[in-house]
Amino acid sequence: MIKNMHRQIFAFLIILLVLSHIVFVSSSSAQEKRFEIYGYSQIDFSASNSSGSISGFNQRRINLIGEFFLDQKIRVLSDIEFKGGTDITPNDPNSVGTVKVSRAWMEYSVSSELKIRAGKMITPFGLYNLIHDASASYFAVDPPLLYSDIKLSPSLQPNRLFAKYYTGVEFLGTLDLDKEGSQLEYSVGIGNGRGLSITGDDLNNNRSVSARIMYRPSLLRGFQIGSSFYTDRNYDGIGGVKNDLEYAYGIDLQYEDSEMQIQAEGLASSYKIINGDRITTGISYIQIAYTFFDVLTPFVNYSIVLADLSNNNSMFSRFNLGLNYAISPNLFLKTEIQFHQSEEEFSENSFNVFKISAAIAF
Amino acid sequence: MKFYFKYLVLICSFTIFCESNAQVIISNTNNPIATLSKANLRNIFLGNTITWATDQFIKVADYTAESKVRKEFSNNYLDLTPQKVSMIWIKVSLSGKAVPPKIFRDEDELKQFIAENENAIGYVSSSQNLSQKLKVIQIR
Repeated sequence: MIKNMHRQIFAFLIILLVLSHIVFVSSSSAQEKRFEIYGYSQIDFSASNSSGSISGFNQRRINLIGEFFLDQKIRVLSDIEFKGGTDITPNDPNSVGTVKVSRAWMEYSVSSELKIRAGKMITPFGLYNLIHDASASYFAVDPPLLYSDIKLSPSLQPNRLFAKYYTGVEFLGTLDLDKEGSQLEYSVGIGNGRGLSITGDDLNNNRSVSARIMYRPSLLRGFQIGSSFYTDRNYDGIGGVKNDLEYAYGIDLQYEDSEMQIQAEGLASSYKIINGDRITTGISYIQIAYTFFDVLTPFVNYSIVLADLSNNNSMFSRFNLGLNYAISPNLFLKTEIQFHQSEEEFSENSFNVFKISAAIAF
Repeated sequence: MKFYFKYLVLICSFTIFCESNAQVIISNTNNPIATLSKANLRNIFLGNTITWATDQFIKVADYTAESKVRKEFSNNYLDLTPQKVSMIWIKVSLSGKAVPPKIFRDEDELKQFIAENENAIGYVSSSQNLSQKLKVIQIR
């Protein structure tokens, strides 16, 4: 009886071993083919001669991107961001940094001309918004001023002129226009507008609409021209008006070859201020970079902001001068001096900011 | 006449030498694509085209930036340095447009990867020693 029971246990263990081997091997090999993980990280040192500023290091972020291919038509992407040396303990007031889901979307590919994405996405706007935090993908330490929170009057909080992220549905694709390689890329998104939470339920029944179109001609290799649009009812309002209907229009140009990169962008944003007037803010910049010996890239960026297009006295500019050194194809050491005009921060004196940064894509 | 003939032979041999240095584009034999234009190839290797005509995601296979075959390929087909191509791919992948290329240290590893992945594309320095699971894509 006992001998028989031992035999049964032994047989059961053998079957279990064989089954677990089959399941383990098949699932692990499937995952090798279907799952990709990569990311980027950045650490900065900054110092400024503005009054009251503190110099120091900043573990800006580390982002882990996971991409899962369900099959040849469906993929899922998640982007988890750890910012500012994340050390969070529940109920601890000394907790620092943030951890957040920057992106979480699924994509169904109907064809190369049409893909449908749903989830939390980055707003497709201009040359930088899709890569605004991925410092390893551009020469400067920070993206251009156009993509930052900007203080537009002494009474207003610094604000972006279009949403960085949105939650909703996006239709995108690439059209081959001829056999020589001309292409047209487009994306159109509908989502929740800016508010207390862009990822949860919307706060009102108004939707944000974003659109971007980009043309890459075959005749001029390395050149591209694009245009972007964004509108929503902004819960907080750039001008301090709740649920303000706001618009942003952008145009961008880029030329890039092995040595040279030239970028220029312009943006006009329309919003209401407290007294009921509608203001249009304009921002533009040009950035020129030239790569020597394949690794050393000095660059200059000149940005102009006209806080109110109808008032020439509302203008200020910023000049950035920097150097990017590619230590390896994925690791970059950057240094930059930003010359801030006093008008930019509505302060008494102009000031300069020195930054040095290491950025990596892995 | 002899003088001109000498130069003709020299030019021809130089042309043949250059041709022999051209990289061979390879894919899996199950991939139905047989030919690509140079412009198509450039768009694939710069992340501008991310799906095949069959609507399946392209898996790009490449070499480390210091690889000699990659330098030659980048020069011949992309008109960009490998460093610039790497930076373009960082932008493409981190924006969520496409997965970055699989990077290999040698041709055997790359061939093995393409042999195992129907939608992969890569290049090698010569069409010799290709297994039955690999085929050459003609560039028009």
